[in-house]
Amino acid sequence: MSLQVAAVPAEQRPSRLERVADAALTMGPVVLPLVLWELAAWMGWINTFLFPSPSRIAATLWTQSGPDGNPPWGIPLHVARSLTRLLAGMAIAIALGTLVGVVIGMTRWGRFIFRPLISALMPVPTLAWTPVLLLAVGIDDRATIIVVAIAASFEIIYTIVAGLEMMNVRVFWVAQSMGATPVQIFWRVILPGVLPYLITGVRLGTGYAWRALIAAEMLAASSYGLGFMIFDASEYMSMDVIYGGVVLIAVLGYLLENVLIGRLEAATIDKWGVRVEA
Amino acid sequence: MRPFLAHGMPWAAAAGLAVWLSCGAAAAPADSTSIRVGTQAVPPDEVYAARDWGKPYNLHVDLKSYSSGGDILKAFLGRQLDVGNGGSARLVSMAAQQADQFYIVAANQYGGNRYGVMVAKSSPVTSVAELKGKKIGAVTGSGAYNTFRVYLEKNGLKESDFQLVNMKVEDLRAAVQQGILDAAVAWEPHVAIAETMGVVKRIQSMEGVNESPNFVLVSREFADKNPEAVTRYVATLIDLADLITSRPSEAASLAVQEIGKKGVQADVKGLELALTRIKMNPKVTDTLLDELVPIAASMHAAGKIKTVPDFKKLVRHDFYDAAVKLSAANRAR
Amino acid sequence: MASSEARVQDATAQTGGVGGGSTRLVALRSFAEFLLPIVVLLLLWEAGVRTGLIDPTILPAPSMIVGRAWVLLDPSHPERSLLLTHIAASLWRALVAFAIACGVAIPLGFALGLSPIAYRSASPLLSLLLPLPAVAWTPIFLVGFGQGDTTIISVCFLGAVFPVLYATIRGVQSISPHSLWVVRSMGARRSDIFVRVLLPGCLPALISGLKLGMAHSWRTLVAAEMLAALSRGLGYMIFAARAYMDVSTMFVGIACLAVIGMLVEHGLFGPLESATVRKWYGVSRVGGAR
Repeated sequence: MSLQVAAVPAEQRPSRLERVADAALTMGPVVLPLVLWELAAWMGWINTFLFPSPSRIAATLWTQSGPDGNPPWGIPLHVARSLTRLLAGMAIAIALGTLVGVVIGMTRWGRFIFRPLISALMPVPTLAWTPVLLLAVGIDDRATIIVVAIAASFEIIYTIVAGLEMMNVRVFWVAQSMGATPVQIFWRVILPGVLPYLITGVRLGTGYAWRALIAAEMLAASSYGLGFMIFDASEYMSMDVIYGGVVLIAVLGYLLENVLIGRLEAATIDKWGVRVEA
Repeated sequence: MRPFLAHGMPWAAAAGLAVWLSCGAAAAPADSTSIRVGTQAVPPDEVYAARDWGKPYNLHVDLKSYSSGGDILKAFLGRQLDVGNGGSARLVSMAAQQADQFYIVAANQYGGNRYGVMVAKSSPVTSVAELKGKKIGAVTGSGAYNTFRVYLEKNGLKESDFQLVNMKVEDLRAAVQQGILDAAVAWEPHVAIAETMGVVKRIQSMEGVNESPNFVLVSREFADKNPEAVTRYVATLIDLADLITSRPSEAASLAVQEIGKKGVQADVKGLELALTRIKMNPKVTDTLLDELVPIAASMHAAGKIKTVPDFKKLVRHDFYDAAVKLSAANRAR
Repeated sequence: MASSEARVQDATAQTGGVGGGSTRLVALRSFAEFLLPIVVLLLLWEAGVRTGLIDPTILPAPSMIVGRAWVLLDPSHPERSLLLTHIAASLWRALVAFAIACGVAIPLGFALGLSPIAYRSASPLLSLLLPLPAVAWTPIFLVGFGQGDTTIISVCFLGAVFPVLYATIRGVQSISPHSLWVVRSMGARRSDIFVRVLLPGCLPALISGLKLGMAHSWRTLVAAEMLAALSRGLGYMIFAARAYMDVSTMFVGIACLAVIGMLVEHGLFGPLESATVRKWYGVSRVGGAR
């Protein structure tokens, strides 16, 4: 969708006007409604209680991020807590997911035992686990981290299993015939082979995990976290905090799924030339 | 044309949504013999929902259930309810910012006995002092928590003597049971139900520490137009309080029946115990009102409100007085 | 050898294989094999509670959950069954939201897919909104509409609309413009192009988008109900049970959420997929959507 400026000869390069038009077209739908909204709020056309102007939302986000916020440094704290939970959950999911995924993909008994369980449990809405987890571990951090781990694990396992099924079994035979021990095979053949699928699984899993985390925070968290922040704000009807929070959640979700892992994917998978279709 | 449509549709939808939402909070005009009340999943409200209390007074009570007190207040302020309830900080904020929107007509729930500290059944701990350095679960900001802090002050203890863990009230019981927490401070019915389940014991009640009152609020607009409906409603509250105070087991059965309609099985013994610990006399007394003053003072000092409101001005005793007569007359029949 | 053999066996079992009677047996056997680990897990769970290893007030035994479900189901008076009322309320909300989402997303998807300009301008907004958890909108709707069906359906709508929209666009975009030109140059009418070229061309992506959209709608429903339900729905039942510490009922609700989620994904779209996509493309997909 982007215009490739470098490779095109001078006469065919899009004119400045065309570039401006393209930028306007891309940014338009995002910027225009915001401008209209601001105008409508200013003119009093809309109910500013339910729809605070974008400038007010931005202002609230600013103050709440600083020492004058309630609580002080509120937004960085909320964001940090959510991200910490996500990170911890993803770490567990990567370890667990890789292990289970490899076991399912490589062994007969693994497939036999785990496949039915995973097929059965995967469609269960992740949030349905939350009340169970709250009974079992109670504390919001532990419960939300486990929710993240569950959401991401399924995705990672699914991707790794799908990837292993496509992986060329001959590589594996060759290593075996050359006398590699199972441990060597694991570290030298399986792990590198699984890595692209793992990374894609992590990217997809992060998306699901972020969604599950926000929902779980809204239900379970009692102190910090973006989900908690917007839910708490609805208790006090602070619409500006809610909208600001939604924007943050959207932006962070996008960054996490596309930019952060996307970069990682580009650096590894695209370079190696192995792309997994989701 | 097509790109325009593709653009147009979402914005048309958004505009429609905006108009819809802005009109959302329009008030339904109330008829003089009906009143809209907000309820929550607490035992007294369940008992109230189980029976038609307004029938003897020719009052149609339109009950709407909400998931929390905060939601009730939101709807109340949004003119979707004529009656709401509120206490402590929330009530103080409202009194400071929207004093002309409501009257206080009755007391809803009060009494320190409805807050308690529980530990696991097998725990050797018998007093709060023994919990020093241990983990106590509580819902920070709740009435139970605030009363607990007053209790600590009165007994020479400090919050920093303990490790306070913030959790949701429904999760406290399981956490205490499994040893994730050493103790928890909760409000009824959560303590009573856990006790009757046989998994915790209550080591300390907050009885006598303070009353931590919750009041019944009526929208000023409604009360001025329909004073008769308000009087009749308060009469139903008097009847309710009478049932709960004098025949708690009957009230508990009613509550269980009502809760059963949702598909949930509640323990009748647990509810009975919970109801005996909640004070329900609807009369608004100065003792109760005075408890709001220090809360208002500290909020004022923290800059959360501009002035300390005069709570006495918000109270309408006349509804209660008339209701007493009405209820007595009904009982005589 | 072993893994590829197993793969063939799996594939055979999935697509129905060759011949009559032996197929049934193979299908039955693989179904039984599928159930075995699940059954074993349930038995271990039951044993754990019976022996006292697991506390029933934290995790009730499967038998207790089934027992409670039976009571709630009230088979002798199904019209009064509380469980069925809650399930019906939940399904209704999820399906209505999904239907509206399809009604909005499919036409919009076609429009955006066919017009590169429109797509280019909508794309940034779309990629920003796609990963956004629909539940995040719940507080906004709660303030605007209060609790109840409107809020829940609106939130589920938002959950379902983006995956379906995205998949429709992808599907339409994947149709090579050449096929469109060829057909048009042969004098085909607009409606013909639509039915004969566009629809079949984007169908695989569309169906997988629908599957994802319905799954999202159901998942979002769970969360939205827990936050916004007024008096009915599985999420409401779970949270009401939690408030009064009725752990059995809570688990009945969770089990229903799980089972219905499974049925929707495997049962609803599986046959639809096989009837259309597999027949036309011979593609066999492993596993389900989330």
